[in-house]
Formats: sequence, C-alpha cells, structure tokens
Amino acid sequence: MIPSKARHQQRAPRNAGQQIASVLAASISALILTTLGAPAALADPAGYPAQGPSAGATATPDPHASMTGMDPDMPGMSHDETPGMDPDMPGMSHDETPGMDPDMPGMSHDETPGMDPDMPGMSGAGSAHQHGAATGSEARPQAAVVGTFVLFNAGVLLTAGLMRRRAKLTASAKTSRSSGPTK
Amino acid sequence: MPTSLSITPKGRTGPDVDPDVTPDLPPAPPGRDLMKIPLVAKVMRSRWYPGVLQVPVAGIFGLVAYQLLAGPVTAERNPGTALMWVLWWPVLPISFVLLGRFWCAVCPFGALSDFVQKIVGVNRPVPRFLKLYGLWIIDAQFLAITWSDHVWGIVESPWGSGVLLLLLTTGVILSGAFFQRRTFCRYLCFLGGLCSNYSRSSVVGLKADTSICATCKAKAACYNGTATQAGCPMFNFPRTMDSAANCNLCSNCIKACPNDAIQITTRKPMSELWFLDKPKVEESFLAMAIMGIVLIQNITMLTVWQDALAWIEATTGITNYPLIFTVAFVVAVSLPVGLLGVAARITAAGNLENTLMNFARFGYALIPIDIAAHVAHNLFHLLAEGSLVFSTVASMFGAAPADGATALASPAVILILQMVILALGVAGSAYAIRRITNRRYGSLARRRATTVPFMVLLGILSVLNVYLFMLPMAHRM
Repeated sequence: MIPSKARHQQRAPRNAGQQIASVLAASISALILTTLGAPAALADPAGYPAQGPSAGATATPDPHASMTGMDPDMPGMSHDETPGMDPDMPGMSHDETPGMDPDMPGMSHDETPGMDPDMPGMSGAGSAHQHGAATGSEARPQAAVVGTFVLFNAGVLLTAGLMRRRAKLTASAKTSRSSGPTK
Repeated sequence: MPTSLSITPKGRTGPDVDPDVTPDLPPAPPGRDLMKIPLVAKVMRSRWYPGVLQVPVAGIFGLVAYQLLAGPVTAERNPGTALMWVLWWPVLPISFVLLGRFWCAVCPFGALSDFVQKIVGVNRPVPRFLKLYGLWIIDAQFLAITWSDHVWGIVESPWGSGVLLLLLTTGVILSGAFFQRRTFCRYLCFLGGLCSNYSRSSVVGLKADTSICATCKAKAACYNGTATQAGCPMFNFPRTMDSAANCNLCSNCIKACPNDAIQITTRKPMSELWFLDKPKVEESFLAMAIMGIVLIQNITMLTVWQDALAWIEATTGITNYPLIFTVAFVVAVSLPVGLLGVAARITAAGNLENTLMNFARFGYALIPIDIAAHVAHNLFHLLAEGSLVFSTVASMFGAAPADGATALASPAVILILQMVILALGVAGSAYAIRRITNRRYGSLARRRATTVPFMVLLGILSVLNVYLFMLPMAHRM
C-alpha cells in the first residue's frame, strides 16, 4: 500500500489556482444566468399576471384549474341572469348579489351563460383537458371516505391490540412455567 | 554475494502501481460540534424536545386535514391547500438543506406512529422485503402521487389532498401498529425518500465520537435505548453512522448515551455527497426521478403546454388527457434517468467502475441541481401565490375571502431569485462531480474520463431548467 503522502505526490497537483478557478466559474455562471434572466424578467410578463384572478382561469389557462375557481365577476356570472338556480339555495339571497360564491353547490358550468365555450377545460367530452380536478359541483363522499378510514384503522388498532395482548399472555405463561416450583 | 533488497512492497510486481486500483480514500473532515454550545445542548437533552414542537405541528396538521376534507372546495379559498402546498411544500426542501431531516422530528406522522406503537404496538421486525426494496417503493410512490396529481387532481383539489393525507395516515397507523420503531418513516414515507436525498446536502449532521464509543459499556444504549429513554427510531447506530440521510435529529441517542459521545456537527453543504462510499442505485434513481418530476411540473404550468395539447389533439386525434399526460410524464422522468445512464456508460469505459456503480455514485452529485430546481419551482408558488396563505387563514376567522392570489414579489424578482438558486445548484453539482472524481482517481486521464460526461449531463439539465423557468408560468391557484 502506497503511503498516502507518496500517493498525494503522485496525484495531479491540486493547487489553489484550480480551486479559485472553480469558484470563479460558479460565480460567473451565476452572473450569466442572472443576466440572461433579467431581460426576460423585466420584459412584459405576458404569461402570468401577478395580481388579480388566478391566471389559471383567464390569461394562461391551466387544464388543472378547478372549474369553480372561475372569476365571480366574469361577464354573464351575475346572479340575476343565471337560469336553473334554486332561489331557496343557501346563500342565494333574492337581493342583488354582487358576486357568486363559487363554492355554492349546484353551480353547474353548463347552466352559466356568457362563458366562453372555447376556454380550455370548458368543452365537451372530446376535450383533452377534462380530468378529475375538483369542481364546485363535484360531490365529496365525506361520510363514505372518512367512515372507511375510521373503520379500517379501528380494525387495525384492534387487531394489533389483540395480538399484543396475546403475545404478552404467552410470554407471561412461559415465564411462570419456567419459574414454576421444582420437585 | 549479498541479496539485493526489493524496494517495492511484497506482492507488488513493480514500483509503478496504479494508485487508483486501491485508492486511499480520505475521510470527511470533522466539523464544529454544536453540542458544545450550552443552549443547543440544553435543548437537545431536554425531555420536552421534540415533543413541544410536535404538538403544535400536529394541531396545524389536524386543521389542515379538516379544511381539506370539509372546507371550501376550491383550492384558492381553502386554507388547508394554501398552508400545505403554498407554504409548507416550498419551505420544506430549504429546511432539508439547513437542518437536515429535522422536519421528521416534528412531523405529525412520526408522532402518530410513536403514539400508536405505544398503545397497541406489536413491534415486529421490519420485513426483509422492505429493507431490500423500501427505497424502490418510495420511488414508485413519489411517481404515483405526482401522476395522480395531474390526472385526478391533488394539489389543486382540496379533496384530493385530503384523501392523500388519509391514505398516508392509514399507512402510518398500520406501520406503527405492527412494526418496530418508525418503519414507515424509514422505509415507506415518500417524503422520507425526498428528505433522505436532500438531507445529504445539509450543513448539519449527527455523528458519534468513536474514540468514546470504543470504550462504551452501555450495550449500545444509543440504538437500543434504556429503561427510561427510547433508542434511535430510524434504525441508526450512531457509532457507525456516516450519513445524515436517515437521522431526524430527534435526540433520542443524545439522551440515551451515558458517555456524551454524540455530536451534532456542522459541515460544508453537500460534503456528504463527496465522501459517499456505498452509493445506492435506488437513491440515485430517486434523485433523477425528482429532476424529471420538476421538469414535467414546470412544463405543464407553461402556456406552451396548452399549445402542445392542442397540437397533439389536432395531429393524432387523441383527446384523452390522462393518456397524453402519462406519455409526457414517462418521457420527462425517463429523460434524466436515461441521460445519467448514458453518462455512466461512457464514464465506465474510462474509469475503474462499471456503469451501475457510476450511475449510483454520480446520481448523488446531481442532488444539488435537483434541490435547486425543486426550490426554484416552488419559489414561484410561494411568492406568486403566497398571499393566499394569509387570506385563506383569515377567512377562517370571518374575513372575506380573496378573489385570487396576490403576488408577494414581482415576476422579475421571482425569476431572478429562481436563476440565482439554479446557478447555486449547478455550481454545487459541478463541484460535487469534481470532488467525487478527485477523491477516487489520481490520474488525469481517469479524472477527465469521469468528469466530462457528467459535466455534459449537468450542462444539458441546466440549460433545460433555465429555459423552462424563463418561460411564462401559470398560477396553480
């Protein structure tokens, strides 16, 4: 085995210059990347508005955007103009409503006039963008899911508890047998 | 005639022995022991740590779960979604770099596992298949969750996120009820896999003073525990531990050790990546899979994605989004994995290790750019949608819900921050490639043959990430 000092001498000389070069390269690459990014950053951000309604529903539609995330102030979304609504639905005041509550159940997309049918995700069965993202009208089987969760885990806890109790009883029976009275 | 003495070591054929064949691998240098700081030592030895932190975190988790399952159905109005995906998820990888796997010490799932184990635990040993294939299971989970997010909706669906939490909770309860220690955290938690990889870059790590351990009579109290103190929940033996990947800084070993041998040391970021002696293929695979996931997450948030979908629909007639996305997902995840494989194959021709070993070893070197791309991606959500955290939480107390996200920083600032972070990640990976190579190989030819393919790979991934981040990105909420 070659001693480490001799081996060190056999290695390519590692000098401070190489380390400084590495640090400089990293710093220069950081500067270059920042310089490249700055003009794009300072240009007109056409892709995503920093304020206002989610870009997923307007300028840069996102196929994953929830249907009920629509802007309640969107044209055609006035409460008075929406057919098919149950006037007795909770929250559906007969007084003038400034905006819709997108969380309200029964807000089917199909019943809302004034929407752009060509907006991604808003077309029919042929759309590539339809998938199971949550919608305001999507039923949430809370009782079924939470109930299953509770029951299943209760079963797990019960089973484990019983197994542990049996193991303890078995262990204590073994202990009492081994320490039983001798003749 | 006197016999001439050989100047070469016995068994060697000549003086010119290839030093790379039996490399003299220097160990990692010791860092500063934080346990010498009185406050740190007091906290880590306190019986209240980490419990005092677990309780509020568990409370918040409960609130998040309730809001996800029973709160507003839309993501931008749901406090659970905002707290989980806009605040917690972006901050998490940063915490891994700064504090290692500390999140796992305060994670409500870990606390739940401990609680279940206490009341009904059967404490069976970890099944062999989990020890062998647990990391692959974690890899598969990560991919499945990301795929499900796009196909069924998880991040943008409070209900989907809630169901995910319920599934994870079920796994935790099952694991805690039947198996030892924190089997779920170590072998099954998808987040644990991420923690494990990223924590290798952290600036703190736990290790034992082996000179003290050599004279220990306490029968491995750090691992086995004592009558009053539990041992390591993550199956680590501090005396031989050389990685922060599976240490959650819970301080059980610190409290159990009667000899004060356990240290929490500082170290240079990413230094653990340079000194790895037993790389694992599945961990390198996870690192590359995460890179692919970040790529596909970025792509699907771009405006060009809509154009791509429209083109596919027009050209092929395929309108099934899950099918289109699945193909794109497979390509995106396979790309970094495949490129790493190609680089490993090219490298194997010029150094002393085979393709698989090069794949395993240098996949770790790409963890810094992994972290950087992940943090940069989530930085967008944190800063562009971060106001939702305040507005949705305020709405729980009666404030009017906001109509949408208001950015905490301008697009220009976000982009510049993303570029800076990416640059740091690229620099970190480049340096890691160099350090790993130089530690193993002394000859210039082998160093060059090893470094060049991986630097080219790094360059490709860097350009890809920079390009994607410079394109306009849509909000998620």
